[in-house]
Amino acid sequence: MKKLITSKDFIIIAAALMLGAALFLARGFSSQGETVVVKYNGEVEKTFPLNGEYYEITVNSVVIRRENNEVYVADSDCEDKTCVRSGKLSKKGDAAFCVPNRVSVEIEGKGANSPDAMTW
Amino acid sequence: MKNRKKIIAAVLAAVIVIAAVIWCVPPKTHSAEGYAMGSAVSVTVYGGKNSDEAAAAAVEKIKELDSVYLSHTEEGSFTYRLNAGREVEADSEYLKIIKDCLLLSEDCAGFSILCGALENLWNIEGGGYVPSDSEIEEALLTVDGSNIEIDKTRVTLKNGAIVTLGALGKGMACQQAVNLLKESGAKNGLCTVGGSVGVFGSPGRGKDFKIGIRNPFGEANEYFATLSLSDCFISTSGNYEKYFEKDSVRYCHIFDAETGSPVQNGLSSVTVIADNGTLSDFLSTAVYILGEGRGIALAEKYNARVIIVRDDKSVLMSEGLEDCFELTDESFTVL
Repeated sequence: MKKLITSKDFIIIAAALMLGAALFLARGFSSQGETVVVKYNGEVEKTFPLNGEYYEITVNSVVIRRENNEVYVADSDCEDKTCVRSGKLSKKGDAAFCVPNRVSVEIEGKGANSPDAMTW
Repeated sequence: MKNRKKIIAAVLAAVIVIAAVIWCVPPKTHSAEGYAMGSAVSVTVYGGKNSDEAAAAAVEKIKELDSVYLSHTEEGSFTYRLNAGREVEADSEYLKIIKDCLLLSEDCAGFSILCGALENLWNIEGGGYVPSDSEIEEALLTVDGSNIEIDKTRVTLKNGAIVTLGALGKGMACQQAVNLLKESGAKNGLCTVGGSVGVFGSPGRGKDFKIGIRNPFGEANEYFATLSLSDCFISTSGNYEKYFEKDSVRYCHIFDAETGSPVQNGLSSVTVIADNGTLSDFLSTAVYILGEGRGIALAEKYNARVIIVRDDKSVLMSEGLEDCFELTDESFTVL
C-alpha cells in the first residue's frame, strides 16, 4: 500500500498554500500610498495622493488642505462647520463631510481594522 | 492507481488554491453616494450582477423618499404641503408613513412627530433660544398626537401642529434602500443615511459588518466601540450632534414632547439595533427620551438591542450584545 500523499503531491499542496498565503499578504500590504478622494454631490471631483507637499483646493466653498501627509477641511462657508471639526484625516477610511455644501473628503479604502460604517 | 492518486492530489491542490483565492480576494464593491435629509447618503453592494445600477437606484430611492414625502423644508413634498396648507391629499404611501409613525409614537409619550413648533421655538440649529415657561406651554399645545387626523385620502393638522419626521426618516430610508437592493437581487449590502445604518449579507469572507459607534465626547470620525453585525438596522441618538450651550447647560436637538424641553437625563447617546430601519431610528430617539429603565423595557418589547452611553462614559448594554460588541476606547467603562 502506497502512501496516500506522496512527496510530489505534498510539494504541489505546499505550493498552493504558499500561493494562498502570498495573496493574503498582498492584500494586507496594499495599504501603501493612500489616495484622497474629494466628491461634490456624490461625484468624484478630484483625487490626489495623501503623501506629498502642501496642497490646497477649494470645492464649492470648502477649502481642503494637504499638509504633513494629512488632509483636512481648513475652512468652509457652512454654518455648522462639522467638516472643519472632523479634524485631520490620515488613515484609510477617514472622512470629513460638509453636508450643506455636499462635499466629502475621504481617504480611499478601508484599513484592516477600521469599521465598514459609523453610527451616530 | 498511481495516476488516480495524482489526480486526487491535483484536485485537492486546485480546491485549496481556489479556496485561498476566494478567501483572500474581497468581493468587488459597488458604491453610490448622494445627499438627502440633511445628511450624506451612501450605498454599497458587495459582488453580484448589475450592482452599480442597484446601488445608484437605492440612493435615488432615498432622495425621492425625502423630496416627495418626508422633507419639511423641500417645497412640494407631502410634509411641506401638509404643514403649509394644514391638510394634504395623500397617496397610500404617505398615509402609511404617517400611520406607522403615529402607531410607534403611542409607545412613548415623550415622542411626537408634531414637534415642529418646539423645534422652531428653541431654534437649536439657528444658535438656540431658551424660551419662557409660557412660550413652552403654548408650543406644547401643538405637539399632541390628537392634532393630526387621517382619513382615507387626507391628512389634516389642527391647533398649529407642525410635522417633522426627522426622528425616523433616516432609518426609514435605510429600510427602503435595503428592500430595493434585495429586490434587485443583491445578497450583500450596506446603506447609510447620516448616522443610520442598514446591513445585510456580508462584506466578504463571510464576516459580519463592523459598525463603529461614535464617541459622543470626540470628533465626528472617532468611535469608542465597534459592533460586528449583519441583517439588521442600527441608529443612534445623542446630545452631541446638534445642540447649543447657555449658562453651561447643554440643550440638544431631541425634545421631550411631555415637557417641551430638550432631553436632559444624563445620557450622551443611545444606539439601537433592530430588524427594521424605521423601528431602530424611532427607538434610538424614544429610548433617549425615556431614559435607561423605561427605555430598555421599550426596546425589549420590540426585541431590539440597546447600547447606552452615560455622561460619565459608562456604557450599558442589552444582554447578549457582549459577543458582537468590542470596546476600542479604554476611557469608557462597560458596566
